[in-house]
Amino acid sequence: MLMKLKTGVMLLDDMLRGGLETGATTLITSKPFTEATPLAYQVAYRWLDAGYPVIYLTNNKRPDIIMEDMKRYGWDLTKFKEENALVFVDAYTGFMGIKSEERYAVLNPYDLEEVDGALLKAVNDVGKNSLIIIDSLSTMLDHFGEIVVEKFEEWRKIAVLNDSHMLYIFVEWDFEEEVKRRLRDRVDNIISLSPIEKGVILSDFFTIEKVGGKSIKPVSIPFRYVKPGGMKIYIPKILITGPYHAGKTTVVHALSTRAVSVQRGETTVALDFGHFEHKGFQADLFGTIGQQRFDPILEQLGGETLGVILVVDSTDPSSFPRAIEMLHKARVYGLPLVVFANKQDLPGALPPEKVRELMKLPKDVPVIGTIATKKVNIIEGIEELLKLVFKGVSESDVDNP
Amino acid sequence: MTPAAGSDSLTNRSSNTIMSSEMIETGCRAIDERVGGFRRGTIILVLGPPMGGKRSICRNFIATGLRLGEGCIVSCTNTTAEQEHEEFKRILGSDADKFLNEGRLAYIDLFSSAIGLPLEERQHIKRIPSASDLTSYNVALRELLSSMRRKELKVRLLFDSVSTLLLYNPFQTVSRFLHILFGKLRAMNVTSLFLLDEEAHEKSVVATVMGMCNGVLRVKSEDGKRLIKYESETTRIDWITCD
Repeated sequence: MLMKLKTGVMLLDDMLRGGLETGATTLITSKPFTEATPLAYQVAYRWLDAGYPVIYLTNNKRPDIIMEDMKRYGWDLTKFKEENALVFVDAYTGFMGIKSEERYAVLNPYDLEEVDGALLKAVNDVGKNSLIIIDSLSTMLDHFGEIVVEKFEEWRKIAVLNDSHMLYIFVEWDFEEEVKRRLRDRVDNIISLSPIEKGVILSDFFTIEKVGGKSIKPVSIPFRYVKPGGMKIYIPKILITGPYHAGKTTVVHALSTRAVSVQRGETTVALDFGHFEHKGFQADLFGTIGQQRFDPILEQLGGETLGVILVVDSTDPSSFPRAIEMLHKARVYGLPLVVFANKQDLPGALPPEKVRELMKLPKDVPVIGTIATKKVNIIEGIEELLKLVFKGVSESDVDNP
Repeated sequence: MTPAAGSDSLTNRSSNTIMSSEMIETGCRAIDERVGGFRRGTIILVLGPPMGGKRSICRNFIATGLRLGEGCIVSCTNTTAEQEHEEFKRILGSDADKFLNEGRLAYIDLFSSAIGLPLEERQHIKRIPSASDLTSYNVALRELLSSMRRKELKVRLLFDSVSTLLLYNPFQTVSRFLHILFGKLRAMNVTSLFLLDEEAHEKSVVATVMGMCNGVLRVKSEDGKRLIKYESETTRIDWITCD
């Protein structure tokens, strides 16, 4: 019987249309400066936690080091290993000329048939509905050459016959294009991981290139690995802007798990910085300064922004033109935008729809009535923004139906 | 949404631009006085027999960088980060600890896993699961380079040694790794020394690695004297005594 298990990563599961299916194969392909293994660990944990077995073939590090590494990401799998729900096919220790303690040990890892034999034995013993991780395909290619690509058909059959899922880890060293193309053709799903390296931001993004054997329009989602926690969707910069005294700092603090502000009295004189975590998402928040004399900083801050929250004081319509001006100054007009019509608890506060009308905001810009001091509608507001940032992600169009 | 930064192209964009002409002090008087040091951003292969003194020249190169306020990354495949740090303490005294705490000195330790030590993570010390897990090395390096770049530091790197990588991986794997790594280092203008024990490998292997570097520094000992020979795309020093 076919089943689908979630990876546990927000958006990734949506893009995979519910997760990874038994009887299918997935290639996680990563650029040389990005890791694929933590994602594989995460999927392994999910599989075990749901009560299904995992077979982990390693040819580049010892099984005990993998266990230790998994623990660092927050997944202690000792119990599963003791119960033989998690088994390793150790095709690494043999390289060192040491005897492996694993039941499925490859004595001579330089022999593809021996590697293949140990894997088959493990699959037969462990049985159906298992997740089979191959870490890594690139190392196999280095050791055995292109013949590995031919093995793909056999391994695919194993996945189908055993109602299992094959998960290949592949690092894109400069292999021949033809080899890469053949690998891509022979799998059902492709998840690709690449680094984002702009300015001083350190994060990665993932793209789903293929689902269920069909190519899809690639959409890129920024992420970061967190210890513990694993893969989290990560937005390097959300800009929180708005006129003087609209409540930006309060919004940054209300959203943040940790925040820093440089203030004089009640006015922010440098910038607010905060970090937001919610339902598998993480974002760094940058609050700007409302006073006009700081506009040059605003121009600087606009770059690399992925989404904007514009905070306005609903009791002060005279500040609305300044609010729109600030969007232009930060050069973020046209990016995903949510307007917080703040201070809804004060007398004379205009309702959100009236704020929209006076600011002449387009219909697709959400205007949310908020009370930042009481954290009212703040989370809901940023959820609206996230929806806009990741618009179209879960309904990825199929290119070749 | 589209990727904010658009893949690797940004990283590599500067890799084909003309190399900087800035010369940097190496800490080896023979090189500094004769040719003004190494050109910033070059990748130099350091060859020499065991006990020839090549490590001490390399460590001086790192110590000199630290004294000049630069960031330094030491990758060790034959010693643990702690053992390597002891060596730097002998050269730099208590400053070595200070540099480590400031994040100007960092280690990537590929040895602890090989001798079965727990891979305890410490600030500015990265441990790699095995000498075959080269992606982990890259990821650790990327993190360290990013954090140094955030501090606007110029960076030096020491990799000791390529020979160990060749012991644990097929040559093709190592050459692919070096190719990608060198591209990154050049793009980020990191002046780098890579050690290789020439006698332990076939000539063709040494020649291939040499062809990927910008310069070759040979070090040997004769009659208690240390001798060096340096050849790069732009300079050449024949065997001379090095203090």
